[in-house]
Amino acid sequence: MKRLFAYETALLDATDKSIRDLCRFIKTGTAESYRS
Amino acid sequence: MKLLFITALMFLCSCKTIHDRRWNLINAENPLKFQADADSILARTPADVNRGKTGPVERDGNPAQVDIKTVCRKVRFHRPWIPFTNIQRRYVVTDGCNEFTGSYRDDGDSLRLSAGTGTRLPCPSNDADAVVNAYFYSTDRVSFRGEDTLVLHNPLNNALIFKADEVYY
Repeated sequence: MKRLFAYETALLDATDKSIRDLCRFIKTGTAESYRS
Repeated sequence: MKLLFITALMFLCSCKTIHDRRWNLINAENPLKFQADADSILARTPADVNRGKTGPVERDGNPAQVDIKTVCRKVRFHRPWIPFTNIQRRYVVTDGCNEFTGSYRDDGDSLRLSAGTGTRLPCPSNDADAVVNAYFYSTDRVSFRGEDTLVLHNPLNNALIFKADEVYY
């Protein structure tokens, strides 16, 4: 149950701004330049 | 008064620093493949896209194509993945118009997302979201690598990789 909660909280935060980050990644093609 | 001060001091000393984790996207595997996947996914509903159902897709008889950079300028930003509740253990992935829902479970090594069902609402200006969310529609497994890396897997091998930053308050 603790691990399930860890997955859920991580996914909620990770996906919160991931579309914006994904677009930034596609545009720049580099990992470092799009880290928020 | 002195006793109150000592009690307050003991309470403060016993408090741990509150910290949280922020997960940042650090890599999208096979980025060059994204354009091809986006083209094949365009015009499909979430239910069609899910679980790696790929193949030639045409819209009105013409090959579906999309300019990713243009798409990203138009995309509406929203949270694509939402768990309903811990009890129900169901998720919804949305592109802002259609929704795709399924269940998830902890299988020991990873979080497994079941195949589910999606709405098929006509969304004429929804291409941008559909394309960018392609990664999320097809996610079928989520796993941790170590303690600070989160990976969203999908059958198209376009894994999304997130790294955690510790945030202290």
